[in-house]
Amino acid sequence: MEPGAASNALSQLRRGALEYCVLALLQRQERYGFELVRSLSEVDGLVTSEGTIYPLLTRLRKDELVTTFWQESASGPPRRYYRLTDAGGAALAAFSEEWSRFRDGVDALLTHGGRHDHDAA
Amino acid sequence: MTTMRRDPLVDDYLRRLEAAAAGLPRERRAELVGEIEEHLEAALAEAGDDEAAVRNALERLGSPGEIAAAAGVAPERGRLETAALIVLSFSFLLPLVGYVIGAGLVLASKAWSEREKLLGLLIPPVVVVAGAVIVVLATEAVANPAVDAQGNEFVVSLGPVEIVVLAVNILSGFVAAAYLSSRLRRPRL
Repeated sequence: MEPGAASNALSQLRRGALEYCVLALLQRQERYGFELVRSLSEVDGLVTSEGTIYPLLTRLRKDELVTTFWQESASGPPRRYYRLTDAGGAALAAFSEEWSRFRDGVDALLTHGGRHDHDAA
Repeated sequence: MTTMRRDPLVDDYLRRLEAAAAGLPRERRAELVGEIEEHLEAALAEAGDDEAAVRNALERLGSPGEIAAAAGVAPERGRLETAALIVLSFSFLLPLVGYVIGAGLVLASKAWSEREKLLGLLIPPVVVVAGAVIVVLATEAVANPAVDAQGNEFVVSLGPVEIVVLAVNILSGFVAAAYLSSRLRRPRL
């Protein structure tokens, strides 16, 4: 397989994981758009174009996984804050559980070719 | 309260975003542009608003086209795409060559995703191969007893099966073009 196929697979994984990273960032505290975007950008390779996160936030709000509210800021105009909903929390919990199982399985295959994993399973 | 002195680069970017998002309902478009505007204000409040900071912030955002695409706006049909669709539609006039040129134009375009290109371009060859198989099967069933002793005088008559297959072959270019066209937005005049 050409290297392009691997990078394509990774970009699909990123795209799929991104919305749960947003939900995870909102787990402990409410955040405004810019803050969310910058935190996501700090993860190497997660975000290629920061602007594309805003449509994702809109989708999350439509799916009622997050809600928004306006809050005055100390400097400048009011900001739109995002807050996790109960449904968002549930979606995040479900994803986290599946993700760690998936990650562990893939890691085991990648490092040992899956040989040592049979007795554990 | 600080008042932003807006950089012309920012104004230009927001205008291009507004245009790229023209396919969205008015309310969603205004919201998207507002969010990006807010993002830029926050970014520049943090990094300073000299030209290098502005350029950097805009580069990190990505192109207006990318953002609009992420918001679900289909890419616009440009000249290249229009040419590709016309050539594909009428590719039956120049069998094979017409298809190859049309396919080349489709592949050169950035408006379609790889998946859409593959799907659209597979339609004509699949139809041609399926048509050939059907004709061969139909002809074998009918013509076997009619083969003469030398076996070299083999006349294929244009029966109803052949006519239908031929018509479908001609239409396959149109179908491929119609599918590809449906993935794009009509250009605004």
